[in-house]
Amino acid sequence: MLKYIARRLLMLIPVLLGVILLVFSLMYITPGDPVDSLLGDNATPEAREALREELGLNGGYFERFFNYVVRLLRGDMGICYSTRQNVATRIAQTFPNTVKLASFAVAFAVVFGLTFGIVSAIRQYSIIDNIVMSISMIGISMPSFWCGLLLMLLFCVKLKWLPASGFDSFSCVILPGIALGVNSAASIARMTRSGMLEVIRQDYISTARAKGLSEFKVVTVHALKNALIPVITTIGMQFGLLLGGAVLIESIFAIPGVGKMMVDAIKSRNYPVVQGGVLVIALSFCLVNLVVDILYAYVDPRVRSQYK
Amino acid sequence: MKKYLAMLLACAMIFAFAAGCAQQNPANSDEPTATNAPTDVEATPVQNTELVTDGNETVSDKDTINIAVDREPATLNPGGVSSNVNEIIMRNVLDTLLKFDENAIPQANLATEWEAIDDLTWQFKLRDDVNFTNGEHFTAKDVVYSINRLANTTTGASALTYIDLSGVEAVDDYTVNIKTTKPYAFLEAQLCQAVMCIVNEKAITEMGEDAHGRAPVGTGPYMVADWTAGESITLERNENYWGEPAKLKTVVLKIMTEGTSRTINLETGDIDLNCRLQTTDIDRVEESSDMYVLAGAQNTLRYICFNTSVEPLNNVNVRKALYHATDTELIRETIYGVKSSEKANGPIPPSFQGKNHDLPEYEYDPAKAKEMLAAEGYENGFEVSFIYLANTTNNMFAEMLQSMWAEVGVTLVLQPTESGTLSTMLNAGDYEVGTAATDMKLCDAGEGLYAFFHSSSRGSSQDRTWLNDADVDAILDKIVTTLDAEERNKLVSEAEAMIHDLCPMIYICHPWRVYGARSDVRGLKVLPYDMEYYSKLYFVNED
Repeated sequence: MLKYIARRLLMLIPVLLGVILLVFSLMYITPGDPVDSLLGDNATPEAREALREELGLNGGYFERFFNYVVRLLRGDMGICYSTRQNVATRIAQTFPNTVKLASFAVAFAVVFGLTFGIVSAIRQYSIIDNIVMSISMIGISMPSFWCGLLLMLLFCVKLKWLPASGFDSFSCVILPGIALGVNSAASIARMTRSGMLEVIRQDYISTARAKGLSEFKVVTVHALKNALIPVITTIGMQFGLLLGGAVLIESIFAIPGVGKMMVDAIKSRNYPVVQGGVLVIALSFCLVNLVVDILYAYVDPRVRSQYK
Repeated sequence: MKKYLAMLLACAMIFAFAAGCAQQNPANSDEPTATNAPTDVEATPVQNTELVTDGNETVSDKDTINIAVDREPATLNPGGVSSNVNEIIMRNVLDTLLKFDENAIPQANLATEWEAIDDLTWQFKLRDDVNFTNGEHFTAKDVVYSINRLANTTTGASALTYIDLSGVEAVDDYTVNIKTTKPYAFLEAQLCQAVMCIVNEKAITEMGEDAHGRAPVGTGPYMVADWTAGESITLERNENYWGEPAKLKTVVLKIMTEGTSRTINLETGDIDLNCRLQTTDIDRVEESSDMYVLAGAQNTLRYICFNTSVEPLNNVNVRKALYHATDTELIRETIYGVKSSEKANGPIPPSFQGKNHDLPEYEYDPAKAKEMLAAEGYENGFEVSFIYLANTTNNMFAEMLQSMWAEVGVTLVLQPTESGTLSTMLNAGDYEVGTAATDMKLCDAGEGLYAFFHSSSRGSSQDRTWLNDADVDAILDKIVTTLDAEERNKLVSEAEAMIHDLCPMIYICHPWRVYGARSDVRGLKVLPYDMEYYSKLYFVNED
């Protein structure tokens, strides 16, 4: 098992290098000069040239890429063009907020997704099943930013139950977390339902019922555990996606997370911040996937046996 | 299953239809209308620059105001990376020698009196009772340092174009002389700009430029207490301020880039003041009894610019024909809103001194436009590119213009562009037709015309027409060096007429600044330039 984890961690290196190359190249070929965004229109040509030199924007593609990778290997993610803070510091300030938001969204998605998926499967073709599946279809189709605005209008403006911005208390996490998690909850519900339907038709479930076990035990102990493998994959994928996908929600709810930081950085061509942000999100995504793969082993003995 | 699904879909459609109708017919809804507004808020506050009250209000002891700003400043150092937000904060934290009054006329501030000793030298007497927030006493040396410092900053050097640095000197502790390189009529207005804020040498030396940029040491009514990147900037009252102390102890500037989000937060009361209310949200805020709208004219011009140095736009009659082919009022009403902009006829805003109110109008007349184009040999029209900042509003603008000009046979090739590239291309003259909005920063019509239309302004951010006309240059040169205000206004009026006749731009409108505020906020006034005096804001008790 340890060998497997070590191998997976080693595999991260080419993945992250690929991410760095891709993001660097994309930012390089995107039109627009960070110096224009930074200095505005009133700067003299000399000031522009001096800043370009200072930011290391005068070199060619390979020179700049090489310098960036070398600095990165030394643990230096660069300096934020606008605030002149270290990018690592900015990420350290914002990433915990994004993780908090994504964690709440995943928790919401798991609780509601699993519950509705299970209920839907054990009441297949009932009115509950139809309603749950219709709602989940809407949930999957609804863009998260739109959902966020609707929730804001209802819970902040009309009912005045929750704050519409800020990130200094638990109540601030609820609405953006739900808006972010609705999509995932819907996916998990659909995945759980189909997984459960497949499992509850198996002979061992009939055997469990024949043994006189309660329906609750049959569902939770025997059926759910076996239906969980694809669900765990979905949860893992969703967590990764939510980490990177909080961009719009963070902007709408004015949450100082990595997503909002990156949107602002993209607008001003703040290359080091964009590259640093993407790198951290990619790394998190890979690590979450690794954790999911390890979880498989604990849930499914067949997978565990492969590692021995 | 199908039956239930059909029922569900039908319900969803009915709900969506009802919601849509409710949105489009506010008159039929139960929502409060403007007449439901509190008695102290006028029924049509959108036309007001200041809230008129009955005077029977009691001041609340609430001492913190939350204000939404649409972007995060990069720095609060004069001469650093500049934006409207950082200039406003700087002028609340630092101080300038002179400052604009409500009509954008320079008044005393750190300087108590001033005079032009000769054509080139101005002498300023300074206050002797001012201290910086680090305890240092303010003297003429700080003025000399602040102005000289700009030469080595990223954006400050352009403010020194007419200032002779060797002639900026402290005569004594409270007298400073500023020399210009030639007679310069706009020095007073220039000294009101945020870039000319006075800083303390010791503070910058000790803290370093970057740290000072995030917590500047100034002499203003507020000082920066906290700056959480991407989230908020908190200002605390400067208890040792030399002038009238700020009414509120704390001002929290929340960075909210999304316009809709700012409005919703205003509705919920999470913010008290939205300094950039979206045009589309004006009615919604107006209709609420908990909020009010203030809007007023600014020093900004929204225009379509012709690059007058390229064919066929170097032909004045072609430019005039295209003006006649453009329904500017329709564009203004549709895109900028009748409640948040005013009609433009000529580059100078109507309230500015020297404005020529007798300019002929280029009325919308496609038939005349077609005739004029045919007379110039373009009976089959031609193709031109149209460069603009890519966003929803401008996309709509571009599509409207495209269809208007198509009527007279001119094909407009749309070129949506991101901001950095747009500036670069416009500055380099690498365009045919474009649209932009430009401020007359010094709130002076003469200076604005010079920056917009003098041939020496080519390559700057304000010249968007590349006009090169000897007569225009001559009169603009005269304006810059004419110190007598009355005479200068006459010249400005004459220059505007000349420029109007050359038709280097199609004037769309002067967009207004629109604020949304909670109904208990007082002390706000819409100024003709980008500024909010936080020190004047306060709350009243509501029943």
